[in-house]
Amino acid sequence: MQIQWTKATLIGLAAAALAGAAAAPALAHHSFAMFDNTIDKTLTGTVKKFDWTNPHTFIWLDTSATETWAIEGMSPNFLARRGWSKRTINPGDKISVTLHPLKDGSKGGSFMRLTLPNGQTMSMSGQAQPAQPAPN
Amino acid sequence: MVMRDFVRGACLLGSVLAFALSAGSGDAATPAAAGNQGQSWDAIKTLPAFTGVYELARGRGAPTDGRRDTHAVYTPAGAAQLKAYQATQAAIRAKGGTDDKQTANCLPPGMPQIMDQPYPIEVLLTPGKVTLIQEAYMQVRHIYTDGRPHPEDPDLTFNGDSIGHWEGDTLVIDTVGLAPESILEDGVQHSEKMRIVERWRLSDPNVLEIRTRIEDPGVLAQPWEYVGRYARHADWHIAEYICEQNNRNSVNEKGEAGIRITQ
Repeated sequence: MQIQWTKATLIGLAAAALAGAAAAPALAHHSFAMFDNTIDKTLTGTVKKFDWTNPHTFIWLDTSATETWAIEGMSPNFLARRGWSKRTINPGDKISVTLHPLKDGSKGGSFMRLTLPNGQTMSMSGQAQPAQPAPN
Repeated sequence: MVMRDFVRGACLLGSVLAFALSAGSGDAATPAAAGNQGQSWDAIKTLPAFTGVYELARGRGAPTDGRRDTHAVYTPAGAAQLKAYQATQAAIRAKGGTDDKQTANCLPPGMPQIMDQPYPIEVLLTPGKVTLIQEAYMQVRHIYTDGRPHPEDPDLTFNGDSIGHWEGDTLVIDTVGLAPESILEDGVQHSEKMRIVERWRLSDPNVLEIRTRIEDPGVLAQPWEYVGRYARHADWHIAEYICEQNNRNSVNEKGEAGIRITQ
């Protein structure tokens, strides 16, 4: 009985983590109100640089010879636990990124998801690992 | 029967002693503790296995949605602060701007908000002390369980002065001495009398349940109580988090947010 309840709790917590991780950035180190979360804008371009840094990752995406977008994502700490690494995207990769753009119209946005050159899609929250049982 | 009476008597004696000691110190929130207080490595072995890495459970279906499950009830003074803050926010937004708070400049939120972060915590039990490492902002809470009292006139700090004692399987932590920068709730300035009492227990071998009660006669009309549940992640480790490494966000003294997107 105790074990069954434990499992149920773990499954519940894991499901909660998967369902709710998208809401987590709102609790992070700054407000996301500067981004227009009513707009999903998709950009295609070439990765100039990928900042795998705290408190936020940044994808610098060249969308033309003269335009570079700065796309803010969650921290490497958060993403590393959800299937990302510093090598998930690399300079020169041709990727497509969906973001919530800055309300002021400048070339920046909040990361939503991307499609890698191999067709794989990455989000910030979709690959959260479930809670683990303690070693005994 | 005799044994039970003895135990009951011992408990009663303990309670009376605890009450007498707490009355003597004038510190009702931290009565002298009975039972295993984890004063040695051997003693820790029979305490609940708190040591480990956890993350606050979030989202639909989570016990608390990763946020506080209740709202504060403020005194008129506290409510007025909150209202003024909301008016400031609205004014910034009316101009097309964005408001933000101190964490955008990498100041940590302090207690109690440091316990609500989307990052894991690690709990370590050592003789006479419980240490909580918070990944976000690389914060550490030092919780002394060796029976010491709070300093008489503690310096005010972001995470405050914490002492704890065990009540059976529950660790009770009393925190005072919180700096003005510690965020009770955005827009409400707590007083120097803010006191936070947490009750930590394993509600399940892999769930650290923390019941928090905040008192502040300055701004809270009644104690604010809420519960958070933290899921154990046995294969995680605490990572580095240097907020100043590449912080492109900011907030100015008017509460207006900025973002720097030039390389």
